[in-house]
Amino acid sequence: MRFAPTEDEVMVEDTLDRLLTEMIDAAPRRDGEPPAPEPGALRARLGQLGLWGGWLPECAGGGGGGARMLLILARGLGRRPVGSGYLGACVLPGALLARAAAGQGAGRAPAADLCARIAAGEATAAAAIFEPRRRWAPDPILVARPDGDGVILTGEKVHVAEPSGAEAFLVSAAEAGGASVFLVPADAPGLTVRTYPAFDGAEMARLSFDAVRLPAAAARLHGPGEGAGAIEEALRIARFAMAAETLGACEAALAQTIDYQRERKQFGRPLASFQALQFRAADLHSEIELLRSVVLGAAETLAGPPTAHARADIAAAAAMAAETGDLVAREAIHLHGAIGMTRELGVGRHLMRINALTRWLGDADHLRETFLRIEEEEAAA
Amino acid sequence: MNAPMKTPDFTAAREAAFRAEIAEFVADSLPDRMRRDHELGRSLSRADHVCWQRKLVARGWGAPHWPEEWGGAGWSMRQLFVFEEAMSALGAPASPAFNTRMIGPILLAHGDEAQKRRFLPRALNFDDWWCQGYSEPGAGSDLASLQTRAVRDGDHYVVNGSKIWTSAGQHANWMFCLVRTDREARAQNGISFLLIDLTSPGVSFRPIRHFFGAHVFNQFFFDDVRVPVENRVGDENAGWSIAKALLEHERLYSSRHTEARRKLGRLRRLAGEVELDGAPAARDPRFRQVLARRAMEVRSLEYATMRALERLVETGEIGAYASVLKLKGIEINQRLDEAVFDLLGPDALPADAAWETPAAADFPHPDARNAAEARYWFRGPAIAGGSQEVQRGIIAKRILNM
Repeated sequence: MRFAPTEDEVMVEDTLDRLLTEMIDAAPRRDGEPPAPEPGALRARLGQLGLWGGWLPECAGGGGGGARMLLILARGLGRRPVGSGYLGACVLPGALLARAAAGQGAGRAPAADLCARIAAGEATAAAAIFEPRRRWAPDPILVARPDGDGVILTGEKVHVAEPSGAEAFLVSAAEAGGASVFLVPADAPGLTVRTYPAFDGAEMARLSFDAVRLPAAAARLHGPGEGAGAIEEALRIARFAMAAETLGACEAALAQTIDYQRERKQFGRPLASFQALQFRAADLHSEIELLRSVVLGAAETLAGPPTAHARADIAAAAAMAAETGDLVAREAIHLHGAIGMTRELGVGRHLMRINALTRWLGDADHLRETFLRIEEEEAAA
Repeated sequence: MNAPMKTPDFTAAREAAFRAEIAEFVADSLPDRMRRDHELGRSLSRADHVCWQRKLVARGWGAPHWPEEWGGAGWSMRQLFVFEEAMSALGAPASPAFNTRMIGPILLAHGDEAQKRRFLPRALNFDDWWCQGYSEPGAGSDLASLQTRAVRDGDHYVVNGSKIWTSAGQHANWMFCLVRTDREARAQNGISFLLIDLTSPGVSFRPIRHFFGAHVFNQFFFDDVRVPVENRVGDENAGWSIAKALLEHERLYSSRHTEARRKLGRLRRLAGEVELDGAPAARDPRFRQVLARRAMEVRSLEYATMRALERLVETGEIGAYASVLKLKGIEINQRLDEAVFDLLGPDALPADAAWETPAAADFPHPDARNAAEARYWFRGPAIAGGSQEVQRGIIAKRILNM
């Protein structure tokens, strides 16, 4: 087990940070908005450098970098909340596709092809696994009914991230033998995509499947009996990335706050010299150190087999990220004073992004419950 | 503020009749759309506020806490409290504080007769829309370090400088403002209280957007703005004590108990609708603990506010107790915002604007609208009117003598 980054990892971190700085500096200035690069261009650049899909296995067109690579990317992008779409357009769909690409099913070839293009930053897909009024329940109600050699999908999906430009949706559905995951072309007849903005400015979508017919052979990424495990694994990987992104956001928000407090003077001295504010910063720093530790620990276990211990580590990292992230981002805003509330300064974007992640992938309560269930399962085994 | 007349016999029977009277008025006068927007914490337009205020004025309820000769209702503190609480429970918006809660009481206490006659009726009727010019880019929590200067030139002051975080300033045509009139004096002693016509030559402003996108604040710039001396309230260099009294006033209302009561209503409605593990949240043991805590806090905040009103009637001032009200009122409101946001889970994801899209057709809970933005908006009150840390400092120094 090693927590500290290797020389290679430091190099990747620096490359990512330089690229983001360069692209943010080159982005067009709009009054009252922090500058951000165009997401498609950012994705393409990161793809060309082998960073975007660097975490994906080589058999799925990735760089084989695994959890540590995922950590570096998600954390680095979290430090600069520019709306990269990394989790929605790469991590969650990539996890579902990579598992299919490594399997023996009929969906292996199309999954490997799409996954390789996602890894290269050339294409995106979007996972559709959540349903109305079911919070974060992973078992689908949307039904896949057999129809000759194909299936017909009927039902609803909500909170689909990164819908625009996705060439396909990865859709969980209930079949007679259990949950499956299907590859559905974005232009499939009978599929209605209605997009809406989330509060952090990201685009989300609702999908309605009105008897969408699929030739099952190529479209079934994960068959009944495998789908539930594949969804669970993809959510686990996405939640790990959420914890890493949140960690990056916390690090950046606290650093920005302390920089500002060194500059800003009230009552004739820098805010940073007030003991009451120093104590709060020290508390936040210590909270972030705990989060950093659990995220680094989870990265280590995510690289190994998915034992109960490993799965519980990831649930713990995500739950602590949900809580610590909200705290740190709120405090960062407050400790700036009024300027912290402005869009222009940008520290508020960390709070919105952290909150949007937990609304999408699971909030602290849900993740704590997940953690306990895994621990109890481990104790019973 | 002048203490309103005491009415000793506001009995339970009279209170019930009064509440019925309020309910009837709101049912007749308040458009559904406005009620709904207010319930969801969405900000109302200038036109909506003016329309509602004029209906209240027509009923004699435009500023019931003012003296009767200026349009007040002559009610006891208890009746005033019931009025506010009932209006809020019925989903009625409060009129923006700057006119009736701030400049009104200031002029009543410190204005001369001409100022009262000129400004009070227009403030009551929202013919003028006032905003507050206190904070500056370099003077926030340390308000006394403000630098906007007013130099006497005959029967005018010439004002130069900048004011920032001016809430709703884009709607305003008048600003009450703190300016430095003596640069030699100790910080607090060289400040005067001026009323500035924002249509004067040399006044400009830029919008400042909140991080969730709304145009909430502004920065105003004053470039050789000429303000008649008659627009000064109180003596020259005596503005600080006026401002301080107003800040205490602001803090009394920043207990925000009516907002808390409204948010609790939303939380209860959602508790009956949102399902946790297949049953309404209202039956979930863990959520019940959350709901109980929030409901008890709202009760305690209401009683705490009533104590402040009682004290105001009996002693004519609230003192540092206002800081306790602000500190806890903000926290209680923030916890309610958070409880709503948490209960909604993924259904809190859509932005307020998403509710105008076709996707909204089957969003599950209408009460989910604006939940995230309302929570984000409320980061502000913890900083404005003296940050939570400033309140803690006042409590330690003036109440605990530390």
